[in-house]
Amino acid sequence: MVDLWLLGQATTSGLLLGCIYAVVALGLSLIWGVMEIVNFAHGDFLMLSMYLSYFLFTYLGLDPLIGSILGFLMGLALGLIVEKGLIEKVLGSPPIVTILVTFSVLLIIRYGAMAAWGPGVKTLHPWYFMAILDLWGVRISMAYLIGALISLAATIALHIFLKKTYTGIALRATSQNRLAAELLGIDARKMYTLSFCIGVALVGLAGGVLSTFYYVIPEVGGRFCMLSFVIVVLGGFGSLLGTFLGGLIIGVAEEISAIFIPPVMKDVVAFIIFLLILMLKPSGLFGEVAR
Amino acid sequence: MRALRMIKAELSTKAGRIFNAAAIVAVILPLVVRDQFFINAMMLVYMYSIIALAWNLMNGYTGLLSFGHAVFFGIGAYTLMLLLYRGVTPWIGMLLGGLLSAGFAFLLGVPFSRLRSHWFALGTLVLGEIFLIVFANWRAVGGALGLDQPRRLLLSPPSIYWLNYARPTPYYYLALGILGLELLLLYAILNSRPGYFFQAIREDEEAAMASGINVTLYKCISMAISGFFTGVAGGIYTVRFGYIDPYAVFSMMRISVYPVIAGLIGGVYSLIGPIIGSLIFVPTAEYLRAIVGGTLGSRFQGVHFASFGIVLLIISMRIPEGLMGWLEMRGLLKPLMSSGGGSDER
Amino acid sequence: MSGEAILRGEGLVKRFGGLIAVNEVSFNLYRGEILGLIGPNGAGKTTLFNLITGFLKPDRGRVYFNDRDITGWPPHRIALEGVARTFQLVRPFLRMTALENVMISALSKVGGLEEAEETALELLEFLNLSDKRDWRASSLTIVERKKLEIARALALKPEVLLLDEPIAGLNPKEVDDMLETLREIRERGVTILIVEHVMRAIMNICERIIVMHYGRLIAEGTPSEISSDPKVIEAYLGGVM
Repeated sequence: MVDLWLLGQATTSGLLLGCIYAVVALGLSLIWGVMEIVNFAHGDFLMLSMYLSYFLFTYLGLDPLIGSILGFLMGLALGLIVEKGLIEKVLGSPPIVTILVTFSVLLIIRYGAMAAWGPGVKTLHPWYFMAILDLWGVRISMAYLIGALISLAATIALHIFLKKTYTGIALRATSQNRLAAELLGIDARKMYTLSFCIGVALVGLAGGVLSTFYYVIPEVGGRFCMLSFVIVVLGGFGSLLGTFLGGLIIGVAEEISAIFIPPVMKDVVAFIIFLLILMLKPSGLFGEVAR
Repeated sequence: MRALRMIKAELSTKAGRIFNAAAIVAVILPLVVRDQFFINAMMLVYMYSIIALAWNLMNGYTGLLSFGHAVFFGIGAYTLMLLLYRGVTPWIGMLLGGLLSAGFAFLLGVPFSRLRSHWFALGTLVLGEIFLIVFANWRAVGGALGLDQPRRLLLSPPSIYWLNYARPTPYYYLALGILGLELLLLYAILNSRPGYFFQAIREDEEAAMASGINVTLYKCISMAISGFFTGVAGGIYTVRFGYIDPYAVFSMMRISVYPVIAGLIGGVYSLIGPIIGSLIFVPTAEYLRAIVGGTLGSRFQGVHFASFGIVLLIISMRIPEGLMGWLEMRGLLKPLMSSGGGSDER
Repeated sequence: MSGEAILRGEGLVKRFGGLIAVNEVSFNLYRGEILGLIGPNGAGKTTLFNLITGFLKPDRGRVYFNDRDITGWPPHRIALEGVARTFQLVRPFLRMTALENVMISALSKVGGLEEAEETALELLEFLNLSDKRDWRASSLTIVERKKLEIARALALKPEVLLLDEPIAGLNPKEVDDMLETLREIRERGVTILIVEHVMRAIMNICERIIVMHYGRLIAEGTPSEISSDPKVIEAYLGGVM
C-alpha cells in the first residue's frame, strides 16, 4: 500500500509542474487551432529561451523572472521572423511542405545551438529558487511554485485575451472558420502571424521559468515537444481548456510515477497515456471528432 | 503475370534504359573498383536506399509522413543481434527482424491511423525518442553500451552462413540484392489492389472510405510493409558493423531523417526518386563527416546536422517535388515507376 | 414503385456543440424511386447524408438499409453494403487517372485488376468519359469530375445512390444531360436520393420530395404538393421556385 501522504505530495508537485507544462502545450495548441499546422520547432524555441535565461543569469546576474519576460519578448520576435519569413510562404501548400519547413527549423535551431554552445549540460540555481516551502506538512519547491504562478497568470491572461478582446475573438473566429472570419473583415494572415507569435512567446515565457530547475541542453526541446504533443492529444485537438487540463494530468502522472519507476522512464509513461487515449477516446478529453 | 509485362514495358523506356545501365554498373562495380572505402560507401547508399524506398511507400504512396523509421530499423538490428547470441544464423535473423518490425508497425497503425498528417508525423518523431530512451536504459539488451557481436563469431572464419566478413564487398552485394528485391516487390504491390488503395488514401482519405476502402486496415498494411524492409536494413547494418547501440540504430538524425531528405531530393512520387536521392545525399553527408568532422571536434556534430536542416528547408520551399518530379514536369524524363501515370494534356 | 423502404432513417439527431444540425428526422426511401431532399442552406442536408453513410455518428436515432441496422457502421462498410454517395465538393483522386479513379471503387468489390478495369471502362463509357480515361483527374473540368464521381460511386454496384448537389455549377445543357443520366441509372436498378438546390431539376426528376429546414423535416410529398406547401414557401422566402 502506497503511502497516502507521499501520493498527496506527488499530486501537489504534479499540479504545479502541470501548470508549467500546460503553458508550453497551450502555445502548440493555439498555433494548431488557428493555422492548422504543427510547430515542430516548438520545443526548440523553448530551449532557446532556457539558454537565454541561463546566459542572462550567468553573465549579467539577471533573475530568471526577468529572463522569463525577456524570453517572452524574444519569442514574439522569433515567432514573427519565422512565421513571416518561412511559414507564411508555404501556407497554401500540401501538409508535407509545412511539416518539413517547421521540422527544418527544429533541426536548424537544435543543432545550431549544439554547434554554438556545445552539447554540455548547463544549470542555473538562483538562491531563492532552491528553497523548499513547507505548507501544512506538504513540501513545495519554490521553483515549481513560482513557475506555476507565472504559468497560471499567463494562462489566465491568454483566456481573457481570447474571450474579451476584439483581437482575441477574431483569433478564435479564424480558428473555427477561416472563410467566415474573412467575410467578416478579419485578415486571416494577420491572425496566423499573431497566433504563431503568441504561441512562441508563451514558450519563451515558460523557458525562463523552467531554467530554474530543469537542465539546459540543446536536446531539451525534444522532450518538451513530446510532452506537448501528448498533452494536446490528451486534451483534444482544438480545445484550449482540454490542453490545460491535459497539462495538469501529465504533470501529476509524471510526479506520481516517479515514486514507482526510475526517472528516466517517465517519458514512457506519458507516451503510454498517449497511446491509451488514441485507442480509447481518440478525440481526447474535449476535442472535436478527429475525422 | 501482369506485373512482369509492365516491368518489361517500363524498362524499355528512356528512363528504363538508364536504369538498366545503372544496374549493370552496380553489379560489376566491386570487380572493377578496388577502393574499399568507396565500396563501403556504396553499400551504405544501398542500405539507406532500402530504408528510403520503404519510407516512401508510406509517405509518397500512402500519405503517411514518418520521422521515426529508426524504430523499425532498430528493432531489426536488435532482433538479428539477439538471435545471433542464441546461435541463429543472420539470414533468419534478418527475416525475423523484418517480420517483427512489420508486426510492430502494423499494430502501431491502429492508434496512429487516427492521427491527421501533422500529428502522425509528430507522433512518429516522438516514438523514435521513446525507443531510444527505452533501449538506452534496458540493461538486458545492453543498455547505453549496446551489443557487440558474439565473440566466437569474431574468431570464426568468414562464412556465408554467419555473414561475418571483414571486407565490405559481400555486404555490398547483400544490400544490392535486397534493394533489387524490394524494388521488384514494391513495384508489384503498387500495381495491385493494395497499391491502388494506398494511393487513394494518400489522395483523399474520406473519398477512399466512400469508395469502400478500409482505410485503417490499409494504412496498417502499408506501415507493415514499410517496417519489414526497414527492419531488414537494420539487419544488414548489424552484420556489416558487428556492433549496435541505441544511439546509432534508433538515432533520429542518423537513421530517421536520412530517408526524408533523400526522398525529398529525389522526389517522392516515384519509386526511383528515393534511390536517386540517397545516391546524392548519402555519399555527400558521409564524405563530409569523414573529411571535415575531425577538424571541428564535438561542435561539428551540430554544424553537420544543422546543415541537414538547411538542406531540407531549401528543398521543401523551392523544389518540393524533388529531382525526379522536376525532370518530369519539364518533360525531360518520365521517372521509372512513377505514381499516378496518365497525361496532363489540355 | 413498391412499398418497401430500402433505406430508412428513424428519429435521427445530431448536435454540434449548441447547434442541432439534424433534429428528429425520420424518412423512407422506397426501392426504385428518385427522392429529392431540398431545403435552404444550413438546413442539415449534408449532415443527414453523413449520418446515413457513416461519416458521422448520430447522437440518437437509427438508420436501416434493407431492414439491417447500419447505424454507426464505418463508412467503407456501408459503401460496400450497397449505399454509395458523392460529395458536394467533388473529391476525385487528383493524381490518378480517370480510369484509375473508377477502378478504385471497383477493386473494393472485385478482387482482380482485369475485372475492375472492365467495370471501370464500362462505367466511363456510360458517363461519356471514355476519351478521358487516361487523363489525370486534376486535368478534368468540373462537369467531368462530377461525372467521374458518379462513375466511381456506381463502381461499387450500389443499390442506393446518394447524390449531394450533382447539378450545381452545370449549364442548362449539362443539367439536362445529367438528369437523363440519372434516369438511366435508375433504369439500371439503383434507387436515388438526391440533394439539390436547382429547383427545376428537382421538380423534373423526382417523384417525391422531402424538405428540411433548421434540421427538421418540414414537408413531404409530390413536387406539386411541395411547391404549394405554405411551410416550404416560407422557408424559402425569396427563393426561386
